[in-house]
Amino acid sequence: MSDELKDEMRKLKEQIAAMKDQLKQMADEQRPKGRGIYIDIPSPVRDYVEDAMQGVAEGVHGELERSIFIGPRGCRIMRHGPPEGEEPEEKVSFDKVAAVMSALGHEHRLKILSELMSGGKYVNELQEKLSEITTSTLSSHLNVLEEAGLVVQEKVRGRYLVTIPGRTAYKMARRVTRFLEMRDQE
Amino acid sequence: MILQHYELDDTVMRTTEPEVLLKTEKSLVEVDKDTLAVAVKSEGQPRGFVFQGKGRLVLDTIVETDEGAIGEPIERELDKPFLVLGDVAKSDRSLTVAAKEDLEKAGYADQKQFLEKAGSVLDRFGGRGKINDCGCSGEGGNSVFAFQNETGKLDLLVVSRSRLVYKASDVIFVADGDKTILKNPRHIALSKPHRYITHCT
Repeated sequence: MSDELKDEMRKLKEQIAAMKDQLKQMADEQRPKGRGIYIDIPSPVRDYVEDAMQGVAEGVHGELERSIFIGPRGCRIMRHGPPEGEEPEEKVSFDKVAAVMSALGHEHRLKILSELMSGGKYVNELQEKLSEITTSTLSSHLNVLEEAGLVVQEKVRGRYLVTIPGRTAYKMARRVTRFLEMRDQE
Repeated sequence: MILQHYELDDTVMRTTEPEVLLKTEKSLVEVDKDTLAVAVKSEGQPRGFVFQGKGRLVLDTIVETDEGAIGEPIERELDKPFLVLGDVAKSDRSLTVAAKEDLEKAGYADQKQFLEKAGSVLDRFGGRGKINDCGCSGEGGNSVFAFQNETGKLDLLVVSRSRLVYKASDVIFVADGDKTILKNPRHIALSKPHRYITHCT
């Protein structure tokens, strides 16, 4: 082999080595950090799989959120939808939904619900806690909440209590707000 | 509280002041001024009354749970004759003998007509001249109320200190301290501190 040919071969080998290094570097950049099995899937397929997996994960998470209530004293599993063989549940009318949302739709009323979440209270106790609300306004807000079924007043002692729908509605409003706040932070 | 051979007194009275017959954390029974009243006696002793006039029954048939309250209060106007037995008879009541005009105002021609009506409530409750166990025993503070409902049947309220039982045609409510049970057309709920079972019907 002539010196000229040997020189040509050496240059080619160097070029191949450089290309290998380049490919390795590109592969390293795409490989996720950490240990584990990595399968290099072409990008469109990977995107599709990732989307599908995310959808499944969100679905499972949502179902768990809806079905399992985990409280300080254990968990409670709730059944959704009509039992087998029964007629599907009648749809809730939007005007009723709007009435409940309207009752929730005031900062003062949310504060009242928040106070009642820790237990039944008399009007004067609420007044003490919510000093920024005048007595007549407080009374009016309590009427709105009571009419919507979110609170109930004892007729003998006069305490106000949050109902199960009231507690659920308050938690729902807080959860939606928290979700929106998290979205805004992203 | 066992009543033997109870009978109605033969004198009809009326209240001269509004009277609170029962007041507990969860219950209130009161009658207005000018309510007719006749004593129920057993072995010559006053054991209760049959009242008729304007009155009010208020019951907080509400079960409190960690996840919210279940049920709603009951408020009933008492315009039909109703029976009260127990400690209510021992208290001093503002009563005076009812005049003919008082009876007429309540829709009765005379004393005899009212006594017949009051007697029918007593008969429905258990029968005059019989021995009846009214369901309360032991400590004081016991009262039994029997109210006529729209169907003519009797709704019963038994109160003994911190215990209360109310049985009406569509509601059963039991409270014993901080333990409560409610059964109404919409709910069945049992509750004690930090534990409860509820079923929406």
